Amino acid sequence: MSRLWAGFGTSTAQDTQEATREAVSMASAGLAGQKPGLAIVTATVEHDAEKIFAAVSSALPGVPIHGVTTSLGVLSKEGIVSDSNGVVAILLLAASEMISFAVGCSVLGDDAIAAGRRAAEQIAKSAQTPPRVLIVNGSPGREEDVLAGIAQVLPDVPAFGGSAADHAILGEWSVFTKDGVFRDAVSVAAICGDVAFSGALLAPFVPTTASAKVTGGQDRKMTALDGQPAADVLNRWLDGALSLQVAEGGNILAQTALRPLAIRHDVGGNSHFVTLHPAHIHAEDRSVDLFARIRPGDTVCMMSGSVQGLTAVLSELHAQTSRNLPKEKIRAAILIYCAGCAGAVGGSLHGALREHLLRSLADVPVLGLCTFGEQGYIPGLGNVHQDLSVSLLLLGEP
Amino acid sequence: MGSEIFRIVAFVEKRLTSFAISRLVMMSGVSVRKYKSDSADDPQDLRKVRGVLSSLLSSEEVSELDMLLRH
Repeated sequence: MSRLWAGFGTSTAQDTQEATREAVSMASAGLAGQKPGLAIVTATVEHDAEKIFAAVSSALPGVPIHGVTTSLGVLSKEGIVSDSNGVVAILLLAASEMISFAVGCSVLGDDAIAAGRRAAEQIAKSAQTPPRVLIVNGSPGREEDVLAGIAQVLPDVPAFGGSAADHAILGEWSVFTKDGVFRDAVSVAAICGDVAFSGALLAPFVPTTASAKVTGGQDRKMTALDGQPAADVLNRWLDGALSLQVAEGGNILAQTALRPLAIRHDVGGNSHFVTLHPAHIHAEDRSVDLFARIRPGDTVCMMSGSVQGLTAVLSELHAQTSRNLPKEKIRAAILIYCAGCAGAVGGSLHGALREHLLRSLADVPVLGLCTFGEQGYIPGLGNVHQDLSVSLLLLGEP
Repeated sequence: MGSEIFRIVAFVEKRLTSFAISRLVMMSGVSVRKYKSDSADDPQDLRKVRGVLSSLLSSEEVSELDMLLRH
């Protein structure tokens, strides 16, 4: 019978080598003596990612490394792990019989579609059994292209993940790959063979009546909505909350975290809203930068959410995912929580993690990251990239 | 005259947690931990940090902080 083991460890030690050693040691204790087949690594940017990679490689020779830096802190079922020294966390996975792991990676460079394709090709080449689910973590900015490239090689394989993050949105993030640490890259880890899994991606917002057609801009820059400067329209929808930024330019992440935009997709009689986080207003042309893609002609609508919704979503995610995977079969969980959402929720996220995950996943190692973009599989739509979202991936035995 | 940002960070960390400092950094876009007690504040950074305090602290805490910073 195929078996899956998992162990999770964190450390807030100031010294990076010591923190990594502690996290590895704690995580290894959960593997019942099995040799890990995959190390999923995260850390906040107070630590030097290169030093973490070196320390994990030294402690776990030959074990493929995968992961990204997290914003704000590490999330666990015991709450938020955060410290002025920073935090390092590791989820180790080991498997026997017909469950195996494969990893691929690529620098994004000028062509993120090709990068996604290259990472997927490495997996297709090295996987001993067919990939069942992918964990995708890369630099923020071109996630849609990365997913498109992966789909060229591994179509229909569900993917869940989140984008690398720092605290100040200054590009200080890192991607941990099998080949080292990169600023501009994607790493893909595949769980292959007989693994059981269940994942869900949710954005806890409801549509409002405000909507408009994108009449200017493309990709992640929106210049006009219904023929008017995009920032003016957004500011009107937000009751003037962006007036300073419209006049002077600036970051609008906080103002839009609970009132983002979305594009509606109708799939199989249901609607799925791909959420977009407006990030920045440019005063000179009153355009708006987004953290996900729009196309001319898209209809965007304003969404509305609440702090309560952003914490209750943890319970809903667990309810959805555990429907397909009995509790006694679950061996590990990966939680991806939008950093913007975590920032909006604040300290109450700590209690919400304990309330919604500690009891329900009592014996299961849970690694949680705060990311700058979330990816997940939506039935009927495929693998999507969106913002202000939360995903939970449960991994288990058949 | 020491760094006002340093004093704000010390106040927020004492009242809340280091998670709140990470939120302060994310909301303001300022790497506040680079400021030491004797650093000279960048006026732009100080403006950004002050601008998000009401999202992190209660109005009573903001008033208390203002009092502390005046002394």
